[in-house]
Amino acid sequence: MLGIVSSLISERFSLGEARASSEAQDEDFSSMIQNPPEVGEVRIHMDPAYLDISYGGITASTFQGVATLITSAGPLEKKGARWHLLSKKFSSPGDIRTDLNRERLLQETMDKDTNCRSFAWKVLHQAKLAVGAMTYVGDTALTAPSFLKNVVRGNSTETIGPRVINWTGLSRKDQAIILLILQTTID
Amino acid sequence: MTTKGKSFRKTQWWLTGEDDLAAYDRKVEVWISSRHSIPQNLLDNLEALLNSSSAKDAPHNGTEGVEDIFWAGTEAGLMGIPRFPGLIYETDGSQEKGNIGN
Repeated sequence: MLGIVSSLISERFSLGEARASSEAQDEDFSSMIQNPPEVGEVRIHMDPAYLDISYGGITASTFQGVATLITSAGPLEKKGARWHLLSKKFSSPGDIRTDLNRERLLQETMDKDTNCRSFAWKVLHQAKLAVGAMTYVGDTALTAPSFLKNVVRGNSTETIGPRVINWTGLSRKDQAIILLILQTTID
Repeated sequence: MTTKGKSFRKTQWWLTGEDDLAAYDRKVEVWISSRHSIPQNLLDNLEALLNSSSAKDAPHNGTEGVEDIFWAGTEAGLMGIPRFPGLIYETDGSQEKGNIGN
């Protein structure tokens, strides 16, 4: 449920009582949010909206902040914000199915490994501030924090400059790769 | 720096988005390059967080990295609330027993 209050409040009414139901159903809430009426009033939007956020051939919808994806490995529920980020930054429409499945399998494998864990974001953010990092090494696209510009694993040219490395968020294979990089890096 | 607090997200948090934290009965080591000079107050803050017994990971709602894109994908973001040209007194993304929570 979402309550939207315009800047000049003069009266309160419910759509069901104050407006004909057909008129209420015709109202475009998204448009009203961007271009609110100039008279003061309160709109109470009672019904959660299903929003189509499909991308790259993956059917997806979000309901109350939770995205449900229909993938080849079955339905996958995620925070809508994470799926939105993945669809905008992580992969191309042609590769998202493959890339998402790879990250999902890796994350599930890491979950079973008691050595692999995701750090609290408040910890990672403080670590970022401490070293001035722009890059984060570790985790998967499904768990990496959103406040670092670059997120990588393994042998990537983006692992240049100050970075935060979550050793427990790397598979043993990726730990071996980043160890070699760290032994030769000077920054 | 060696610490021991609730500094990990719980296993499989990515499936639910829950922000509960756990210690997993292990200490945490922080290694910093000897070529870095870091202000003591930043290290103190990091150590305090790693030793914290707080069971929740407070969300970081800022504009760093790709946060703008991330927050644009929330329920409020998808509806365009951040671009609302007016005052926002309260929004909520949940419907619990017909009430807007705080």
